Amino acid sequence: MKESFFRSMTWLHTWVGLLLCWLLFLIFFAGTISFFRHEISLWNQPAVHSIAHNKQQQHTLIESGLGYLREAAPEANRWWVGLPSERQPELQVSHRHAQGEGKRDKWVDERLDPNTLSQIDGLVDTKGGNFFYRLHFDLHYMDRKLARWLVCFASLFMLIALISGVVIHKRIFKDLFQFRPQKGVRAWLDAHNLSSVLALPFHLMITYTGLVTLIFMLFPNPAETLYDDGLKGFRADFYPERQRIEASSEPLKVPAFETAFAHFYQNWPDQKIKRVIIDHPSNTASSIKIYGDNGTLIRDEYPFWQYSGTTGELLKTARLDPSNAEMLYGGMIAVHSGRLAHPGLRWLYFICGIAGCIMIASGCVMWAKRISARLKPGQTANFGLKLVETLNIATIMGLPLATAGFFYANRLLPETLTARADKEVLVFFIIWLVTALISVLFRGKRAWQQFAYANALVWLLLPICNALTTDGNLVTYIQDSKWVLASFDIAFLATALVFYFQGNKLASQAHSKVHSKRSRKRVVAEQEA
Amino acid sequence: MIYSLATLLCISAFYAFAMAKTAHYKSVFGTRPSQRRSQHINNFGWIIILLSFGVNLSQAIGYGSLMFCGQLALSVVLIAMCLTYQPSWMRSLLYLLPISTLLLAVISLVF
Repeated sequence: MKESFFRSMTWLHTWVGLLLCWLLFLIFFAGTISFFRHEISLWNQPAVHSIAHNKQQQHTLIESGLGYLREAAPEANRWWVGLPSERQPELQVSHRHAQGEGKRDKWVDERLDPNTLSQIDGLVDTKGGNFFYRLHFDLHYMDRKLARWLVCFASLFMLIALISGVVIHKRIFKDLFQFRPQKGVRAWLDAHNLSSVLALPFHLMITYTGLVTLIFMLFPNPAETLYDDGLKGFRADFYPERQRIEASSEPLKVPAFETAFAHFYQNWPDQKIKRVIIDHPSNTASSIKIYGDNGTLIRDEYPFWQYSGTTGELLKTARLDPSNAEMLYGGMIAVHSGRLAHPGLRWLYFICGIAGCIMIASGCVMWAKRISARLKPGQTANFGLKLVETLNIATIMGLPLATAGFFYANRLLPETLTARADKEVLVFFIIWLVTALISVLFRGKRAWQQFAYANALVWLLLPICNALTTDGNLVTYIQDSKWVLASFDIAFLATALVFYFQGNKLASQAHSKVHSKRSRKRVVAEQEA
Repeated sequence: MIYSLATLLCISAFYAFAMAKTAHYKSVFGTRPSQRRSQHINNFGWIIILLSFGVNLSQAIGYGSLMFCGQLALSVVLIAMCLTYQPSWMRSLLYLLPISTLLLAVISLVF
C-alpha cells in the first residue's frame, strides 16, 4: 500500500507538474516581476526620473490637481487625482471622456510634478510594469475570461504539485542545505528541492491566495444563492465604489466640492488619501469619491467615502470598519499582491518568486534529462521529449530575453511612434517567438549555452543603453541617492552575471562528454533502484 | 532596524540547523560532532528561530509574519550557497553572526 501510495504521488507530481509547467513558469515569472510593477513604470518613463520626492501636503496636492483638471478638462465625465507615494513620485491627473454610443470611454493621462505643480513634458506612451501585471493573470492575445480560467487551472495544478511534492521528496527537510552542482541530474534535483523548500511557505501562500483572487469566478455559487441578481448584486454590495453613475443633463452651476472636502478633513483629519475621483464634475450627477491609503495594513481594498458634488453631503462609506470575512478575503489578496510591502519585504518577495521560477524550471529540465538519460545509445528522442526540450528552452531562456527586449524597446523606439506602448509589447512577443523558433531547430546543450551567453550580453548592455538614452546612469543614480533606478542597473548586471556563469558552466560540461556517459549509466541505475 | 535584527537572528538559526547536520559540520570544522553536540546545536537553532519570529511579530503581526517567511527563504539560500561554494566562510560566520547580531541588538535598544 505504502509503495503504491508513493508511486501514485510521484506519478501525480510528475505529470501534473509537467503538463502546465511552461504556463506556470510564465505566470510565476510575470508575477515576480510585477512585485516591481510601479518601479518598472517609473523606469520606463525617463521624464519622471528627475522629480524630487514630494514635500507638499496632501490637501494642497488635491486642490492643485482638481484645479488643473478644471482648466484642462472641464467636460470630462471623470477626473482622477492620484497622489504621489514612495513608489510613484508624480501627481497623476487623468480625465475620461465619453465617445458616443457603443464606444468605450477614452482616458487621457497627465502627470504633474508635485513640488512645482507644473506639467511633466516628454512622457512616452508605455505600459510599464502594468504589462507584466496583466500578463500574470490575463496573459495576452486572448480572451480575458479564458485566460483567467487557464491561469486558475495552472494554479490548481501548482497546488497539487506542491503538496504531492512535499510527500514524495521525503528528504527535503533532511537535505535542506544540500546542493551539489557537480553531480549531473542529482544537481537538478538538489536545485529543485532547495528552491521549493526554502520558500515553501511563500509558494503555498502565493498559490493558494492566487486562487482566492479569482475565487468569485471559480466559485460563484454562494453569491448566486444569496443575491437575487447573483454576482452582479454581490459586486454592487461589496464594491459600492465601482457602481457606474449615470450623467444628468442639468449642468452643475455651483459645485460643493469644497464643502465635501471640508467635512472629510474635519472628521478624518489623519486619514492618508490614495486617490480622489470625481464623476461627472460638470453636471448635477456629480459625486466625489475619496480612497484612503492602507499603508502596510494587510488589506486590499481601500477605505472609501462618497460625497455628493452638488450638496457636499456624505452619501456612502465602505470598509471603514471591515467585517471579519472582508478582512480575511482582503488580507489574502493583500499578501498575494504585496502592495503593502516596503522595499525590504518587496525584495524578499522577489527572492521567493525567483525561487519559484527556479523550482518550476528545474522541474521541467529534470523531466527531460531523466527521459534522455534513459535513452539507449543510438536511440533517437521521441516527439514528446523533443517537444518538452523545445518548450523548456523557449520558456526558460526565451522569457528573460524577451523581457530584456521589452526594456530595450522602451528606450529605443521613437517617442512619436503611434501606439508605441503596444509596439513595446510586440517586441517582447516577437523576441519570444524567435527564441521559440530557434529552439525548435536547436535543442541541445549548445543551444542552452548560446542562449545563456545571448542573455548575458543583452542584460549587460542594458545599463549602457539606459545611460546613452537618458540623462542618468548608475553613478549619477548613486550620487543622487536614486536607489530604485540604481537597483535596476545593478539587477540588470546581476542577471547578466548569472547567465554568464550558466553559460560557462554549460561550456565546461560540454567538454566532459565522456564523463557524462558514465554518469548517465549511474542515473539509470539510480532510477531503477 | 528591528527587521534587520530579526533577519540576522534567522540566518543564525539556519546556521545552527546546518551545523547540526553531520556532513555539513564535518565540511566546515573537519571533525564529526557527537550526537549530543548536534542535538544541542539543533535546540539552539530552534530557540533562535523562535526569537526571530518573536522579534518580527513584535513589530506587526501580519507584516511581521510576511517578513519572517521572506527571511526564512533568504537565510536558507545564503547558508546553502555558502556551504556549497565557500565553506570556509562558514567559520568566519561563526564569529561574525553573533557579534553583528549583538551589536545591532544594542544599537536598536539604545536608539
